Amino acid sequence: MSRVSLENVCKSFTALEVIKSVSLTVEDGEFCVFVGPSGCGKSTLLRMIAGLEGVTSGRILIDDEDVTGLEPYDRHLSMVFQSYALYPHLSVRQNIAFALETAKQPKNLIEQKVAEAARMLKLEEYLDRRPSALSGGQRQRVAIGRAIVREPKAFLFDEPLSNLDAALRGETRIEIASLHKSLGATMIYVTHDQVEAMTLADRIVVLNKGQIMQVGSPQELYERPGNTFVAQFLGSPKMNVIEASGTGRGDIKLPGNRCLALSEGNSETIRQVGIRPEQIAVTDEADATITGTVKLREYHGSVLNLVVDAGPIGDLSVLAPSVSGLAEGKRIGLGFPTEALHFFDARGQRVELGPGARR
Amino acid sequence: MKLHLALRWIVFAFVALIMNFPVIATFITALKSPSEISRNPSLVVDSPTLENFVTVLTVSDRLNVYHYLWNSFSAATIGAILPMLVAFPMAWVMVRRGYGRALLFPLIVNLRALPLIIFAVPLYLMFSVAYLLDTRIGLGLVLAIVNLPLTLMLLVNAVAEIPIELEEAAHMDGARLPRLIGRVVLPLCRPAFITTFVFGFITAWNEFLFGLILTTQRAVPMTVGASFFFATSGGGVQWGVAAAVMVVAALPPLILGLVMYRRISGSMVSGAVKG
Ligand SMILES: Nc1ncnc2c1ncn2[C@@H]1O[C@H](COP(=O)(O)OP(=O)(O)OP(=O)(O)O)[C@@H](O)[C@H]1O
Ligand SMILES: [Mg+2]
Repeated sequence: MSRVSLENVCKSFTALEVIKSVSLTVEDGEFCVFVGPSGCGKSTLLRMIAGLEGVTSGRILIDDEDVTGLEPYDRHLSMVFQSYALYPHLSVRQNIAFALETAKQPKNLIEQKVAEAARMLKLEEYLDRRPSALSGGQRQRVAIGRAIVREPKAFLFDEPLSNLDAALRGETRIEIASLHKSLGATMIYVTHDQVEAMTLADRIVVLNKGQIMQVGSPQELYERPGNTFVAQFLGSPKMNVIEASGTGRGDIKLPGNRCLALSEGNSETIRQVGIRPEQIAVTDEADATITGTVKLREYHGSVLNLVVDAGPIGDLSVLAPSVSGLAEGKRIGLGFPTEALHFFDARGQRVELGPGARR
Repeated sequence: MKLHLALRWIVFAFVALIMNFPVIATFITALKSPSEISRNPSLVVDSPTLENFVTVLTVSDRLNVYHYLWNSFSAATIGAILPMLVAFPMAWVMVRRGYGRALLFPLIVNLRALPLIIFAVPLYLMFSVAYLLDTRIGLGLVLAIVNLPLTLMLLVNAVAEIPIELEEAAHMDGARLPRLIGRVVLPLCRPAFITTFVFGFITAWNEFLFGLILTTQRAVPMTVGASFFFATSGGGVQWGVAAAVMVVAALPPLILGLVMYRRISGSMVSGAVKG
């Protein structure tokens, strides 16, 4: 297993600049997830690591060896495609064995490895079928089996679960996680599903428009997003970001002349304040400085997903326990606990206040 | 419901009869003796005879039907397989690498639109210099050119139909070009190869013009040879023998078509991507 590094990697398709100078190191044995909105260049970046797409400039290293100029078959990586890409004319057994046969491994070793992979992925019954006689989930497992038998330097996954239904996606996600644990392999995983990203990743790389917005563990990214993009990309419903202006005297003005008091720290550069829906406290209208009207109410079982019209501040999304029995049109008060606030400057970058201001 | 089905079959049989009338008439004529042909034009044969077939299948000092069949068979086989050998690598490179897609591909495919006769004179001259006149190989080469446009078109479509992810997956699995082609692309193109072979063979078998121009004796194909039977004894056309020789000449491509019918068309790539 191996370390994969990208050094100032850029990619342009004719005039279109798709990847803008990405540098990143995926450590040995790490599960690294690329997330980002559609079209941000996740697949392109993964395909460049695979060697299926050339780089315009920059270097790609595997275990400190420069592989930028190598063809995919010389990089010893495995890839699981979104569309599975199984060989339709070969049986499941032959599909899984393909890479081993290509590498001219001895027959009994191939048989043994295929049997092992089939057992791990519960494919034993289907070994002699053609892919066309399998369900989507089974095909997905064959694709994974094909990737794992050859013990590659790293695994690449391009949205492997996006063609599965919700239940199967959850199941397969858990299988992939346990696979990572048992193999201890370096894995790079592309998804636009933040649940997959949060649950699977050791480290998440958030991409937007071909640039890395932030790299960090799921918890880091969720609790200390480095900019408004990351703040709003992770978490569902997404974080509320409110226009604000720091006064420089330890408090912050919100639209409509409402003030948030901060105990300490220089707040001068703050232009935006963020708060997650689940961290807004719903109170009585009477004892709150910020009030609003429930505009929309979605019942989600354990929680209510509210959209609250908070006057000059704008619409806020709020999660409330469903026992609170809030109805549309009701006036409520909203509490913003200071320790739950995130501050951003005019360019959307995170502003850190002194430790006294944050818990 | 039953009536519906019966009606459908009646209409179907009627149409089939009309469409195939020339074939049926030829076959029936082949079973009539010369005297019956001149007196009985109906579709019912009074006294069926195989006499005409015996005439056709008997080797005389002037006519040898087996020789023509063999000439046609070997020339048509060359004419069907050679363009596949040339066109397959060309098709793959055109589809996957983009070379020649803009100019060469339309140029070759449009060869089909030109009347072939305009090539006759230069070909004749070239063949006489290269000692290819009246040889089965020479005839096969010309038939290969006749077949090249269709072959290229079918194979380009076949390669383009293979999802690119399959080739990428093979690369990721460590396959270099020979294994990629041999183990993934070729097997997936098999239905296209069969289709191409059947069409190419039939086209080549039925070709008449170049067979007439480029052969005189040793390499005379069945289509040209058949015409020799029309006037075996100098005078008028012997319709019975002519019909019999046409039946014999039509049989090989017919059998090939019937045997291969199930294999023609049909795609191999189902189950490859998504569900
Ligand atoms: N071969 C290509 N030629 C030109 N542009 C391309 C090519 N491949 C991708 N692009 C462009 O590059 C950008 C990034 O594409 P990419 O497939 O990497 O996005 P993605 O992040 O994987 O999106 P998704 O989540 O929808 O899969 C897109 O704007 C796309 O249009
Ligand atoms: Mg993608």
